[in-house]
Amino acid sequence: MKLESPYLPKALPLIVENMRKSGNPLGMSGAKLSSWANGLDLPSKGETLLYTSCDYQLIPYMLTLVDQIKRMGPFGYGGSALASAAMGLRRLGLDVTATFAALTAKDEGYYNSIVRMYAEVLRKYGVDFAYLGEEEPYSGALLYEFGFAEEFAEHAKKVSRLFKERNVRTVIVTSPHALEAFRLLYPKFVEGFDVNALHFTEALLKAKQKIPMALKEPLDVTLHDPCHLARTLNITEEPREILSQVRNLSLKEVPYANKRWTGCCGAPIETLLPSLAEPVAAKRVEELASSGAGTALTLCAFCLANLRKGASGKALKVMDFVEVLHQALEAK
Amino acid sequence: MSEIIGKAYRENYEGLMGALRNERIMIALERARAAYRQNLSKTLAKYPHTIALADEVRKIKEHSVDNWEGLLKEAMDNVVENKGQAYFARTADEARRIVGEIVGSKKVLVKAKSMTCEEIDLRQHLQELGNEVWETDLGELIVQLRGEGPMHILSPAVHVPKEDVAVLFSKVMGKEVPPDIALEVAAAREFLRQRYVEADVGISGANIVSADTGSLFVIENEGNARLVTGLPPVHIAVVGIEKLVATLAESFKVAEVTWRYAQYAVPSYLNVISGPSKTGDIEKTTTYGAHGPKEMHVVFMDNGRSEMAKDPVLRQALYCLRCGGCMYECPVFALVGGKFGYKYFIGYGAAWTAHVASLARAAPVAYTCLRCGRCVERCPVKIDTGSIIAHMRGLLVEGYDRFGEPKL
Repeated sequence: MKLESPYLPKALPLIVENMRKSGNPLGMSGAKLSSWANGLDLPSKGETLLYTSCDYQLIPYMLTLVDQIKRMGPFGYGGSALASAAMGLRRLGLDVTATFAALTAKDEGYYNSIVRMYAEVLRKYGVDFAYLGEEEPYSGALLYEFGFAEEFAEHAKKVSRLFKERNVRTVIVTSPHALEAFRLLYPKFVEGFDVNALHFTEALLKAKQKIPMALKEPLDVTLHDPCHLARTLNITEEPREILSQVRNLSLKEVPYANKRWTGCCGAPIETLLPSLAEPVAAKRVEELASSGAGTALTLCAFCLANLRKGASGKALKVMDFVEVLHQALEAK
Repeated sequence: MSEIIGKAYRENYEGLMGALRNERIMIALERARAAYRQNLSKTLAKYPHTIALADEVRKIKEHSVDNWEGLLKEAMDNVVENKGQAYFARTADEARRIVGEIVGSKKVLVKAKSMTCEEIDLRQHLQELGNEVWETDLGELIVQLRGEGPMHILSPAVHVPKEDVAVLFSKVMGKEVPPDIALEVAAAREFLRQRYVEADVGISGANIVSADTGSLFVIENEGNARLVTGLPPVHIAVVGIEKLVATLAESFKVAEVTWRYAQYAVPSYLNVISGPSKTGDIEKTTTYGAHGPKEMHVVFMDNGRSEMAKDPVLRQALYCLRCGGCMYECPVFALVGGKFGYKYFIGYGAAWTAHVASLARAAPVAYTCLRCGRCVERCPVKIDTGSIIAHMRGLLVEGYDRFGEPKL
């Protein structure tokens, strides 16, 4: 079995085994991951989907997992006691209920509220969309990221089949990693994959309805371009164009390190090397603060989580892009 | 879990954490990064043709890597025709043995900076044979005297502030050297001057080799490489086969892009060396060893490169010009410098590490890379680290080892 490869960091199998068992990196249930939509009455069928890739929903659990991994030592290579604890965890599989028992509901509420805002903003823009709810699959991006190309291909085929069964033509994607998967990887790994994947900002700009947006109080923001959104997908102007439509909001760019030259938030190594991910985040927070804005916006769940961690105790406030839009639509 | 691989991960981790604790590294690298970006944007504005030239250089490198065997034969023939001696080393061991046999023992050697020599620990090997070896690049000398490895491919001592240099030089040179950069540079000059004169052998690498003329290109600013390759009676160059290009004209293109992305409008010196020193001034009789070396030896080395060339994804890493620009853009490098890597640095370096060292050493590097892609934005030949890392991780997942049992 590939997870037995002696070259892999020990922390990795936890995540990959969960992917295998439940289709998402943390082995979470669909009901839990779709609970953010309770009460929104989103249709479950339609040619256009809002696709969350479960990123925001997984974040609070991911943070708890990182604490677990930290206890396992660097890369999951700790002393012998830690290593055997890790082996024990693996043999048992990751007990989600026990592992995540310590989770505070506050974090879960925050990240779920972000996804809800994405849906509500799309609605206000008059975009018709459905949501697969409990059945929404994870994109598999992490499998590819960690080197499991074959498993990624299998997963992608399943997702693609589901989309086909449901007659999905277009997905509006909030996750840069999922968007990269659909645009650049699925076509390589799944024959005939032809679902049109739009980023949330692209979908807003395409919407027929244009709504005036304004904030109650003037706000200076800077934009943290997520690496994959900016460099791999070349989506840098779209979010800026949308922000330019918000009255009372002014965008201050980070000197040099913006758009295609944006700096990483550290999240990609958060699960394997948290002690290095943290200073990477702290450096990026410093850079964002050097824009002179008091608030940094981002458009990726992982950036959001890691930058919020990096900004804790600092003056800079880190928010999701959609939080400001949501406010600006409410205020009007 | 193999103990060997565990050791590679642990040592890598300890290196990373040690560097994180040393705040000086971060401060020095931040200054270096700011200066690099400013200098590069200035020099690219002055020489805007560089960007298109870099695209051309990418094609030159692709073509050269495709045809390395033919180019190697041609280059070796031409070195010999120019009265130099040419060797081909398949492995690091072979390269060390060849150089060791030419040098012998109880010699004084001066050495110019070379990642290829660093790759095979050539200095240590020659010292073990009973020779005295002096690094002459200022940064490399500092690193040698500190008993460390380089922190950056072009600025090996980028992490050492002038105060530390002063203490180090005072101790080694047996006289008070104040923490004043100009005085430190002067002290190093005085200290090394005698070594050049005494040296039996000069050792260098090369940035480029043009196969059609058998010429070595060595780009530098300090002037140490011209002394190393010009003053002692014997010059030995150790060159990776990825440095071969077809023609002299192509070599100049590669050279210009290399120094430009190393933030120089033009370097102080471009040494083009095509054979030992010679004169025919007395009776038109060609005599070797006029003012420069009487002997020139060129050791072409494979050491895993031809394997890398066979891999459709990892071969990109062979296009690297070693301009060092990517390192200033890497967020991990910004914190830990050369501790992010083994022999070669940052994400794409994992492909190099896997081939010139081992898969075990490459594993933690591959899983440390953020795959954020800013290095790719900077790279003049657009080496795609994202695909290299995904591919490397794929190899690690397969547990596939082209090099047999796990080793360090």
